Amino acid sequence: MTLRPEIQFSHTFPDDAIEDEDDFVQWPGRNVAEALKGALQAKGYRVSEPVDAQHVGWDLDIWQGRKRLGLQISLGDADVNYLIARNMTFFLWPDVKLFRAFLADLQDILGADHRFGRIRWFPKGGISADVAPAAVPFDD
Amino acid sequence: MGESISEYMKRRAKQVVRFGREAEAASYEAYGKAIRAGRDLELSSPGQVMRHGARILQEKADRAGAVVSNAARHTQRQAAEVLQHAGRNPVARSAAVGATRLAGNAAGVVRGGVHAVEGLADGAIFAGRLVNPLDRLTSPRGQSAEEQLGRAALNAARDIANYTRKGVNDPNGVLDDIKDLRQQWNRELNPAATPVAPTFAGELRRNFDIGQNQGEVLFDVGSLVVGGPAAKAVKGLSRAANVGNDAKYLAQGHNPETAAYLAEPYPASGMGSHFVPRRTRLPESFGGGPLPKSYMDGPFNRLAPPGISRGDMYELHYSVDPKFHVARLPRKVGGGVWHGGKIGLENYGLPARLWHGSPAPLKARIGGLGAGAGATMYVTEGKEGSR
Repeated sequence: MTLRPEIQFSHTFPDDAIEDEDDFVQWPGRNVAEALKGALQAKGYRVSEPVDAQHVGWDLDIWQGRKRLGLQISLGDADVNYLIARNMTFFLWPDVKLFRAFLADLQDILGADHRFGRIRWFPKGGISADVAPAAVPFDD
Repeated sequence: MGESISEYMKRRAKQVVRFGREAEAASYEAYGKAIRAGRDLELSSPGQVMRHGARILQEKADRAGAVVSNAARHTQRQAAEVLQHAGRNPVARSAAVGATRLAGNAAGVVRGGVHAVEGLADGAIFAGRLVNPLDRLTSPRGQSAEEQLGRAALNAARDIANYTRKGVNDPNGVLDDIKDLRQQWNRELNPAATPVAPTFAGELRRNFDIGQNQGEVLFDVGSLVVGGPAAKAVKGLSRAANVGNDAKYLAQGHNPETAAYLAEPYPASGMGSHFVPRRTRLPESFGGGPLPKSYMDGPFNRLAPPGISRGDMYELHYSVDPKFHVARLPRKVGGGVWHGGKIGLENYGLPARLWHGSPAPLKARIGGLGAGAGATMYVTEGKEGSR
C-alpha cells in the first residue's frame, strides 16, 4: 500500500500574516492551522494549539488515544501550499493503520471545506523529488 | 546546465545575422546623410555596404568604450582623492584602520578554517591510503603512503637529531631561532612591530594583513577549545560572504527588493534549523512533553551559522530538511514565495544531511568522526557547493 502524506493545495483563506517594517511578526497560515484543528477535533482527535514554526509555517500535534501524529502547514501563496502529515507512533512499530485512517480523515476534511482546492497527494519525499502526484492519499 | 556546442553555434549565427542587419542599416543611414550633405560615398556592392556599416558600428563601439573608461578613470581618481582626504583626517584614518583590521580578522578566521579542513582532508586521505593494502600496488615505486611515511619519519628524526646536536654545540643558536620565531610572530601579529606604510592605502593593506593573521590565530586557538577537527563548519563561515551579496539572489531570478531581503543577515531570533526536530517529544514514560528548550534551541541542536544570510539559511534548511519547501516573502519586498525547488535546490542524502544539518559545536564534539567526516565532506563540498 502506498501512503501519500505530503499534500499540495490551493486555498482562499485570508492572508493572516502580520508584518512590521522589518519582518514577519506572525507568519502566515495560523488561520489554516486553526481550521484544520477544529475539523480534526470534530473527528475525535486531540489537537494542540498551532505551534509557530516561523518560516516553515505552523505545526499541529495530534493524538488519537496515546498515539501521536503531526501535521505541518506551510503557506506560500494562493496556489503553492503544503501540508505534511507525520506518523509519530513508535518508530520501530509504526501504526500504519492509524496513519492511513488519519490520511482518509484529512482527505474528507479538505474535500468538505470549499476554501481548500486543487488537492494533490505525494508520497513521502515526493514533493522534493518532483514525483507525479495522485488524487487520493493511498492506493488500496 | 551550460550551453551545448550546437546551441552556441545557433546563438552565434543569430548574432552574426543581427550584426549584418545593423551594419546594413548603419551603412544606408550614412549613405542618406552623405547625399543630403552633397558628399561622395561610393557603395557599389553589397560587400562595400556591409564593410562600411561594420566600420561605423565599430567606431560607435570604440567611442562608447572610451566614454566608459574615461568614467572609470574619473571614478578611480575621485576614490583616490577621497582616500587621501580621509587619510589626512586623524579620526577618519584611525576608524578606517581599525575597521580594516577587523575585516582582516574575519577573513583570517575563514582562512584558518580553510587551512584546517584542507589539512584534515589531506591527512585523512593519506591515512586512508596507509590502511589500504592495495596502495603499494597502485602507487608508483617508492610513492606508496607507507614508504612516504617511512621517509618522512626518517627525515624528521634526522632533522630533530641534527637540530639537537646543533643545540648542544651552540645553545645560543637555538635561542636565536626562538627569538627569530618570536620576532616573526610579532611582525605578523602586532601592528606596532612594523613601520606605518607611507600611503594611507598601504596602511590599510598592512592592517588588513595583520588582522588576517590575527584572525587565523584566533581560529586555531578557538578550534582547539571546541574540539578542532570539526574544522569548524568552514562552509558556515564562508556563507557569511553572502550577507549583502544580493547579486547571488538576483541571479536566482528574484526581484531586487527580494534579493536585498534575502541578502540580509538571518535574524538572531530566527528559528534556524534543528538537528533533532522540534516536533520530537519525550517518550510517554518520561511525561511525553517536548525536549528541554535549553537543548532544543541550544548550540548543539539549533543550526543557524553566525553571519549567515537569510537566503542562505533558507537554502541550508531546504537542503537538510525534506519537509521544508516554501517560505513566504514579506509584502515590503512585493510578497511572493521563496521556493527551494524553483531555484534548483535539491535535498541532501542522509549522510550529507547529518553532516550539514548538525551545528558546528555538535560536529566539534564528535571528535573521532572529525577527520574522516571532515575529509569526506571536504571532497564532496565542492560538488554540493556548486549547486
